[in-house]
Amino acid sequence: MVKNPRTSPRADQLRPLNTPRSINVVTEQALPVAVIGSNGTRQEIVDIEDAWCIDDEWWREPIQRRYYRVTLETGSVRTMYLDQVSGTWHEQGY
Amino acid sequence: MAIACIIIPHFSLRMTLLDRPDLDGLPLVLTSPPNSRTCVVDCSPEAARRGVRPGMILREVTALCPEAIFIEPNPVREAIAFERIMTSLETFSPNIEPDGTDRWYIDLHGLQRHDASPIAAAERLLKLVPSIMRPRAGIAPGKFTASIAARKATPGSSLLIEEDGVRSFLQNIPVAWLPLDFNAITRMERLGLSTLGDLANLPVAAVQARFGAQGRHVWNLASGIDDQIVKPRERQETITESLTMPAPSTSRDMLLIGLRQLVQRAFNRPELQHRHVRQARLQVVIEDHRSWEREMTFREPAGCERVIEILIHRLQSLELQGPAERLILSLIGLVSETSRQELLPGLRSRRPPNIASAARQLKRRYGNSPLYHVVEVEPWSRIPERRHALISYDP
Repeated sequence: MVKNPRTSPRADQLRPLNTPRSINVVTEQALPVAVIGSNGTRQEIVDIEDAWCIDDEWWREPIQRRYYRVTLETGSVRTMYLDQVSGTWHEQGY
Repeated sequence: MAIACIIIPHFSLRMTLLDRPDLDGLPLVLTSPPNSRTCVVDCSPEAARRGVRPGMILREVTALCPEAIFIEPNPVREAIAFERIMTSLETFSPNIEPDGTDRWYIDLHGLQRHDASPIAAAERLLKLVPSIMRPRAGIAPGKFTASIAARKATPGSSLLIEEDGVRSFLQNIPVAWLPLDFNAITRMERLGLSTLGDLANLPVAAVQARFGAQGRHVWNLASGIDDQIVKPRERQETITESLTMPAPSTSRDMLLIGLRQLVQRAFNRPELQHRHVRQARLQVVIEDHRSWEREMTFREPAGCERVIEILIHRLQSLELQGPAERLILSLIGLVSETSRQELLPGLRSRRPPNIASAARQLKRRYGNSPLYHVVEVEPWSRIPERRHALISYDP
């Protein structure tokens, strides 16, 4: 469900979809090992299914991300990335 | 003897001399591409002797060396010159690995029947490169030592390093010549390691503990242990079409018309029947020996119309530095046609008319529609949030 932005909508106004959400990730040797939820619960990562990099737009604001598709101990599969410019972790469907 | 290395220092500058040999021996300065901070990217030894250094702004260069000749980068011409040299070297042996834009490794195994000695082989290789490019050759048992030998050779000559002389040859080479990033080199220098000899004299475990796997690799190189093999380039199936503009044009619309024609012409070729492509490289030759080049990788293999759509989108903000004379389009990575199953008309959802009537009711009640629908913005983008967007739904 899309939140009401409480501004008058305009037909020519585009709002990006699938924007990244900040998350807290515990790492070991530069690899993610657990995700800390917003309520402080820790969920272990049992498997890294895939990893890939994006390196784009170096000519203006560089986008350097390292994505991981991981399986959590609950069995859910999540895609997260490390923003290599700011050093922060985000969750985002790919 | 195992491996030869051919190096052409200052390749971008030397390449200019193919068209203008009269500039040979003059202080040449390669500037950064237009639309960026203009500074020195590379300079010839003649300019370096007058104090010109990469990174300087052009005003400083003019003060230091008023007779300097500034050369703008020409990526298209450079790619063509590189390809010509590569093709020429491949007449010597198919086992050639290009490295960057200025060096090539050649595996000499099994070529003893053709050349009396490795030096004769190197001389034959040097003759395949125009002498005005000032190529240098190095021959050694490993790739790393061969490249160092080539750097040490004088222009137009070769340097041979025998197997038992590798370690002593590398002894006094500065650590800055190792294939390491700037930070790692700086760390080595801070630790008092200035030459490869200093590095090789340390225990390998100590180097590995400090610099990791990379440290072990460079310790091996410094000690003359080099088992890297020559990997010939992969030959990707490529379709190239070019178009000379009827008159040099700065109009983007004109370029797009030409581009559309090039894509259609490429997809009409029998090699592309029922096939899609993964990458496109567009080169534009601009007046006054300038050029512009861009390579685009598609998220999914694309057909004719999709390629046109993507290229047009990517070139929306294109600003050329001058009138375009020629367009060259290369379609790379040919794969079998891919498709997506669309729904049959009878199976289409009835939902859109209902949503449309709901939107009309909401608009009447609130003055504007609070509904949005998803539109494709850059569906080929590698950045997920750029692919789709929400736009106000106002049927």
